[in-house]
Amino acid sequence: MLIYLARRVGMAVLVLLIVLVFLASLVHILPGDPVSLMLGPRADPELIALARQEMDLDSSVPAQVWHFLANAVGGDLGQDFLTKRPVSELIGAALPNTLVLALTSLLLAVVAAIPLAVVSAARQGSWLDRILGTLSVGIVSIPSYVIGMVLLLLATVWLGWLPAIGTGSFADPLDYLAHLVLPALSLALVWAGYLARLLRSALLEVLGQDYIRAARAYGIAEWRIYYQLAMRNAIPSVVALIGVALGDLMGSAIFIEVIFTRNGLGTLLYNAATQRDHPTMRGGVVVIAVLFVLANLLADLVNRAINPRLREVSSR
Amino acid sequence: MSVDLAAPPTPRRGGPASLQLVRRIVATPSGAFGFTVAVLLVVVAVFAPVLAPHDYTALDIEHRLEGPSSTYWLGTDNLGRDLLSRLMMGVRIALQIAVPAVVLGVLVGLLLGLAAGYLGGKVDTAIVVILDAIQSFPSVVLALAVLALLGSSSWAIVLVLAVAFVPSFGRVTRTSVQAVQALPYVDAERNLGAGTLRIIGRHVLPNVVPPLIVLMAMNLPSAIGIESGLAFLGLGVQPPTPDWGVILSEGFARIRESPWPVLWTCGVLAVSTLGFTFLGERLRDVLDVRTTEVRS
Repeated sequence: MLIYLARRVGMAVLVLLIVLVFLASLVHILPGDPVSLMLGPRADPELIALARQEMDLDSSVPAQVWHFLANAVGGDLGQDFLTKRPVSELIGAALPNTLVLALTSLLLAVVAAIPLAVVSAARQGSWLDRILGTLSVGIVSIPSYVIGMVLLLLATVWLGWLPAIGTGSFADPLDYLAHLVLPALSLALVWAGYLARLLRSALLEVLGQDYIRAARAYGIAEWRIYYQLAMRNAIPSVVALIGVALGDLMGSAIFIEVIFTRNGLGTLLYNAATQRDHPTMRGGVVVIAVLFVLANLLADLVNRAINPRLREVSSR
Repeated sequence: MSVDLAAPPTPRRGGPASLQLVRRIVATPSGAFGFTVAVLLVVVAVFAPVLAPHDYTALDIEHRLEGPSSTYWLGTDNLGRDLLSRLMMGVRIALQIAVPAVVLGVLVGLLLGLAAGYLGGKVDTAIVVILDAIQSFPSVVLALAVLALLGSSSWAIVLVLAVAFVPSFGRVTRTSVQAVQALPYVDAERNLGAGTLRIIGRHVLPNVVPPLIVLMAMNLPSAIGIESGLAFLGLGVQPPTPDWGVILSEGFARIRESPWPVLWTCGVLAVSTLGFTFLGERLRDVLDVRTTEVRS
């Protein structure tokens, strides 16, 4: 177990290093100069030199990565180029909103996926199963911002529901929740369909096994067979994907946060990208990469905790 | 070449293999939908200037932000330009970026996958780590970071999308190569002295191509989605080009005055992504491919 953990963490660190090297070398490999993009073609040479120095662009790639890492360990991700505030502070303020959004969407998606999967697995091949199947495949492919925008149109413009714009504040939980509903729903729909599909096929596989037949023979209620006996063996397939899901949700959150003008990591990245604010951009991307790696690691560990078979296989 | 007269000719309805493939694709409702959408999009992309009812740049300020009418079938945008014509030109722009991106992704992924699967060992480990790293952040975030640094020329967008798709193609190729390598007859042929190129050409590629085709059809909608999304954020194709994302962002700015630009663009995006996805799903059944990795 320890060896496994060490290998996973080692891999995660390696992946992060590659991400950092990639970001640092982009400036060198590809044409286009971030500073002149940011300051315009007729900027003062002194200003350009200052900006280059501030963004550490003149150091070699390994040196840039090293500087960044050395500072990052101490919690210093650099300074926002425009506001001169520490990037870590900006991210710290934005991150909770995005995490709440991503986790709420994921929770909604799982809660919706479980009954949908049970219904379509129980009536495999019925019209309900086929409609759910087509719908879930379909919804997965539609970009989340399209769903978000249609929901926004439906709710606010035509029905006059919910305060759709803005973030609300933690101080007023109900207000915060009201602002959260539509964005979370937009993100959850996609994953609800995908997870339902995944869970359905896992359930079908489990349902064909002997212990389920035995349980049926004992006359155990159908709902217990589905929700307790079969689900326990089917749910790991969903858990394994939660890391990927969280990463994807954080990515789609950019669009959703911009559409619903929510504060968050997405809006921060979006503003940094449009203003060519390299330090904030890099900080945000690194934080997302760290979160994604952590989420995958966590999903793996949880999966091993709830699925004894995985443990046996790997300890051999 | 001898002809085996004893064998009855296989019953073939309607000639060439490609036609048969199409028949099988359209045999299910969702397959037919996907195929129709794909063909329609290609036709519109090629003939957009001829098919469009209006000049997509022509302004008609008096009729700005109007709903559907007999002159402007889908309504007009904030400058009174015909939405239908703009959306039709948008098909061309979407495909001009999405198709090269996916093709580039396939080529690079195929090469990396072949190298990883065939050479194994350290090369394999290195390539897998790189693919993992690329996948370890959402492609939109990757695109945002790169485009912010490079500026949003269309080749930069193509490149960014291609990079995002390389891992899925690379993995599928790698897995197939490994599977084929393990087959006894391939081993036998190698022992008979067949070279690397022969093994790759005769045994590996034919096994790799069908899953790659399916994956291409499935990645095309994501490419279109991300491309329009980037344009919507102002980091992709720039106005006044009638990219779907550009139309969406201009419409979104005035969503309270007129929902039509947003509504139609969302509809077009939804139908085209759905179409390619259903086509991919159907192709997977028809070509009998088991994809382990559908989402990228």
